[in-house]
Amino acid sequence: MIDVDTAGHLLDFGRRIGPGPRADAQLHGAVAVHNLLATEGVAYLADEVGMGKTYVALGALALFRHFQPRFRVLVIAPRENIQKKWMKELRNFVTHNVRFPDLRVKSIDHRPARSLVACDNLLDLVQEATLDPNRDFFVRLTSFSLAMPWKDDAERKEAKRLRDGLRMHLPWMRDEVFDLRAKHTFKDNFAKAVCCSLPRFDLVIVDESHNLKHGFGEGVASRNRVLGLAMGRHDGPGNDRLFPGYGLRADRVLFLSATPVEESYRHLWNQLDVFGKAGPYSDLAAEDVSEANKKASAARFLIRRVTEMRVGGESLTKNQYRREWRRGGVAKHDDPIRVTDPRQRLIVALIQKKVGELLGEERFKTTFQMGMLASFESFLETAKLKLDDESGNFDDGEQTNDITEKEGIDVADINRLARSYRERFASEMPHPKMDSLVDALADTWRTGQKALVFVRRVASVADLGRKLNERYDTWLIDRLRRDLPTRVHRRFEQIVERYRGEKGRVEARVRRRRESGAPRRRGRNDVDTGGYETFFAWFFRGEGPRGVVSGATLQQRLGALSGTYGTFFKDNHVSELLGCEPGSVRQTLAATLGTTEDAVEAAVHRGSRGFLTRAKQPPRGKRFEAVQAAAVQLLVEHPSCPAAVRHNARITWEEWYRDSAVPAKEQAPEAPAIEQFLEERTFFTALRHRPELRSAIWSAPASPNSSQAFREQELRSHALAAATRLGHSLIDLYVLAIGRLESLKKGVQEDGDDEKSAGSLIDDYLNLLERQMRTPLAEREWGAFDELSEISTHLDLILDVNEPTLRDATLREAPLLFARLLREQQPVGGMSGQVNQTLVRQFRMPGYPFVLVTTDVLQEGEDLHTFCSAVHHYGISWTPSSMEQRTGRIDRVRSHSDRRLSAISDRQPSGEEKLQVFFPHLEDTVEVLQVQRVLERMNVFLQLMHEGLTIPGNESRTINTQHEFARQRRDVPQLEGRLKTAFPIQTRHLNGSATPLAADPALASTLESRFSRLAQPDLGGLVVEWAEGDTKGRLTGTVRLEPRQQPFTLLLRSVGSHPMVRCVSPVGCVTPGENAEAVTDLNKYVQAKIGVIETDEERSYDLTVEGEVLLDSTGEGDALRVAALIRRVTRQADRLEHEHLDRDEHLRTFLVDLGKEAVHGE
Amino acid sequence: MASDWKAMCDAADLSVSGTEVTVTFPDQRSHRVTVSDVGDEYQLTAIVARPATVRASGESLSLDTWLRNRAVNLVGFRIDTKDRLVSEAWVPKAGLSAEELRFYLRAIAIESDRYEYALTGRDVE
Repeated sequence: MIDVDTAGHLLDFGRRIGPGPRADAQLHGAVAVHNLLATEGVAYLADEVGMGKTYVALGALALFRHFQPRFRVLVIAPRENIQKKWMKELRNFVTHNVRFPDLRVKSIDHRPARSLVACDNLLDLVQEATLDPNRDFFVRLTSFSLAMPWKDDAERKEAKRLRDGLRMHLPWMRDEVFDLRAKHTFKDNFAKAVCCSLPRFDLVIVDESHNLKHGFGEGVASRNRVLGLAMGRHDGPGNDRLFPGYGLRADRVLFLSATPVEESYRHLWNQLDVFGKAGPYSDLAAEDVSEANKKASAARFLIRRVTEMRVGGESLTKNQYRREWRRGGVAKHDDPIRVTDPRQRLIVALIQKKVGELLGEERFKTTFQMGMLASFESFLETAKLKLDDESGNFDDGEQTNDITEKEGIDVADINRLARSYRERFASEMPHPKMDSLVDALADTWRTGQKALVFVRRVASVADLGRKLNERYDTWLIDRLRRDLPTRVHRRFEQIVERYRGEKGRVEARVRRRRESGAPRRRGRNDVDTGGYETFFAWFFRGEGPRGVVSGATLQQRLGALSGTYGTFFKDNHVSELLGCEPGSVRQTLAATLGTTEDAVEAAVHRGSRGFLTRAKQPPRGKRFEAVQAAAVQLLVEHPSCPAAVRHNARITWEEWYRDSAVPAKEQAPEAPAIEQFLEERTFFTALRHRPELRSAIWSAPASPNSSQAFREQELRSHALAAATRLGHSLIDLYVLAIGRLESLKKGVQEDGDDEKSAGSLIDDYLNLLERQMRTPLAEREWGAFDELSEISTHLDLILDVNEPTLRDATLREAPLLFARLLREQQPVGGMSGQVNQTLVRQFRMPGYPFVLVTTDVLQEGEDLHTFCSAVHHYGISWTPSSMEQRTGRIDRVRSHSDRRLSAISDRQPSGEEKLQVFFPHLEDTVEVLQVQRVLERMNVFLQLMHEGLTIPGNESRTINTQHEFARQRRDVPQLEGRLKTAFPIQTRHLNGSATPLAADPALASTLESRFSRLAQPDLGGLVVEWAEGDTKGRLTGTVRLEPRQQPFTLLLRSVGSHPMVRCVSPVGCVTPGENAEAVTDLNKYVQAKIGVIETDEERSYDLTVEGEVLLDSTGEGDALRVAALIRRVTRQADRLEHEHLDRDEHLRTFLVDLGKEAVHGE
Repeated sequence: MASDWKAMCDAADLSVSGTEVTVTFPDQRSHRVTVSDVGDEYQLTAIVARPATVRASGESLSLDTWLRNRAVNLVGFRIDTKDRLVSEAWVPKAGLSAEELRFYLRAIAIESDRYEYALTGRDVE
């Protein structure tokens, strides 16, 4: 047990979210979880959604590992995207929240001290754990499902593949273990064999552990059973002979879920039982134990805190800062959806009649599976399921095994009615609920307010998307008609006609292909080819329509180095460094260096050659860069340059220009006349002269460190450039560009290729941004200014959630990374089946997509909170936990609502300002029964978790319409009182002892300087040439082994609590898989620790010799120890290179790949 | 220089016999390690698998061994001239403390035992 002070010396939870109550809550949570795990062996962290459970868990892990460096961890995430997120968060946590490199949790280079391993399946886990168990493993819960057809021998391919794979890693397993005659026995044996291959884990973390709430028993998902057996849960006698070493693999288990139970504490017991940890908590499952005693039993290991938001001087809990639309409407709060059109009313009545008749049939007994009536979501035709289709037409297909119910019992009737309506009226049958939602969301591109929509029916993703896209098209085309100059209107109408024609043809083709069952064609992954889903995709993305100055044309020109706009989004660094205007740069540069303008011009002209290749006519952007680079270099190197200017110039040089130098033999023989680029005016140089606008969209960097400040400014400018070029802002810029051009003809644009037209567009654009800035959003549409200012203001947050590595990347990579992040934008995004990370990351930014329609694929794990304050439960889920998880996607620390509401200081928020939770439904349909049931269960869940009251509930997944109608309609109000957790952190959870940290915060810097002192030309008698440019904790060099040479790299690492140096010396490309025999024979005589790198990448070497040595406690033996290591490793590597490859490669051959050896914790 | 390595092996889980140290683990498995004095270093060697196991494992064993060498610290594996799978570690004598030597001994024993279990399911060496 440790105390909070001890933990606070190691962990800083306020680093990203700021110091204060939230950071304190996370620290206390980490200590409490650590202490519970230490004493109980299990802990359940059930904090409300969005409070940072992952970080609390990582804090507990760090505390354990700091004091026990060999602490072994396995993380089980529900699915792939969350598995990756855990790995990302662990890296972030170690880098930012662990205070200093202790070499146990955090290494010298601020990455995790242990490597991270993502396992795609159970065989991967076995292979990786067998290879080296002392790494952190991340697996998916879905990997334990072991889906395998089993009808006949031919179908048992998957089982055979698993059997053969496992045999490779456990060749000694008896044959009878892998008997393929019985499916369930095979699965059990496979799981037990996996267990035999796994090490004991000091801690297993189970994320979203409510997925295991049905436990290990009979009749539950076989996934739970496979997991339990793989973790060594006791399963009766008889395991010793077939499975030697079988037994519990998890010394401690940490469960994480905001929704640990639905309506019974038994769900807790079930989860513990999967890991064989339920024994001491049998009260939870007993029927004759009071609810109070069950609560006391749960409180032994469960912690739950409630989200609180400080608004107007008061702390509000989630039920107080969320506004729920329980009556079903989406336009006016507490109003149902009004169906006024008689035709629509008739259709609703007809459908309800059909549904009523269906439910009245004997086979359904007036009941239906919650959320599995297709008519609730859409009247469009739904594809017929194949008999072996496991997925179904709805998410959560596991809810039923009945193929008819999976398909939706009303599908056949709805399809028949829809066809009949289409034939009679030549249009799709209207669906009042869907149409109301589409009406409500069709405003998002005007207001900029994002919306997250959860559906249950997979086909609804496309249906809603299509309708919203149609509305978006209407808006965009009208907007362009309104804002483009009159002279181009006729041409524009022809373009719209063309779009509609092409779109119709493409959609018909796709429909035909789908009907014929042909596979879907996929475009190239790396290139945006545009599309037909919206006019934006067709006109503003990809190639765009031919022969027209389209949005896509402008987008391409802004991104290219050549042409008028080749420097539009560049920055004139020289003008910034000299503090002067473009137009007076040459003069100021000469004055600064105490020389003449002619001399400056000549020097820049000469210098620019070093940054240009032999290309005949370097593009405009290249020429600009070359001149800037030459002038910045001049400032760095000129003896008369004042120190302050030189200091900043050096930073600009190192961060941006140094890497753009061209090798001498590839340089242009002579630089073209390009000096005018010193005076180039760009978007950013012009923005500097509009201080108010600048502070709104390109605020001055906050970092006091000049180098950091430069990076911050550059990252912000690249983000703005990418956003303008690739998203909603491009529309504004396009309208301005065509306004200047007054033509959509491509030739006209090319004729006007001069700097002046670019310069005028810059002014027009800045003027527009200023106008938008000064006009309240209520009086205009959401536009470029709003997108850019939100990106600029929240860039840190955007990087944290989307691209944290960008901060460490070289600045030259930034334009590409931002372009990748913002590519292929669409106003309405849809997701089912698997997570589209591009869409998810864009939803976490301002702008497109404004609406994200998704099935439960995004229900857990993905944070979508940063710019969205509205969630629509269009397809109602049947469990309160799913509903809460879905709402939780946008209700998290640092959310859009959090930022807006926390800024209110002197009043309570209005209903409109709260986080909006919609439950769209029609009151005149049987769906209302389902909504009422779910809302009641949500209230019960809240009472159970927050007040300790258990209301014995009916957990039925089905609704009996007769019973429900008999109960009559009742409103289920939102709970209003302040929520109080039933499971707070107790004093005893934090009552550990003050413990001195196991590593001194100064340890890393001491070791680092000891390590850097090794770079001596004569190291313990070795002649070494050390290379330049190494990073922290890495030294690279070449040992002279006359007459030969051998390169190597040294890496400062740790093992256990010991500092260690690793030496890697490359042999070359040997293709060891094909030459294993020859290398094995050599290795018999050369006592080398040979390493191979298996990769599809092209590399300079795939065979190494390596070795490690511990560093002593004093440092006195460092030189001798490391010299002995280098000597042994390089001699062995050189001998292998000589004898097997007959070569003697220089360091430069391997330098880039040797640099990759330093990257660990990946 | 630390020359008397036997005196440094005073620990409950280590027992010395001649040039061999047997390391016993908490689960009662154990592994034997041979210590050789080679100038400025001690060379630690342990047998992981006998030739019969090596032959039965086929060519993929070498590749597996080299992959493992990339992951494991302080210990290297190879097939020796007698076709045995062996593990080796080198311990510098300069400034060597008893705690460090024991760390190396436990490291090679643990890694060798783990590999032996993966290949044979037994505890022979």
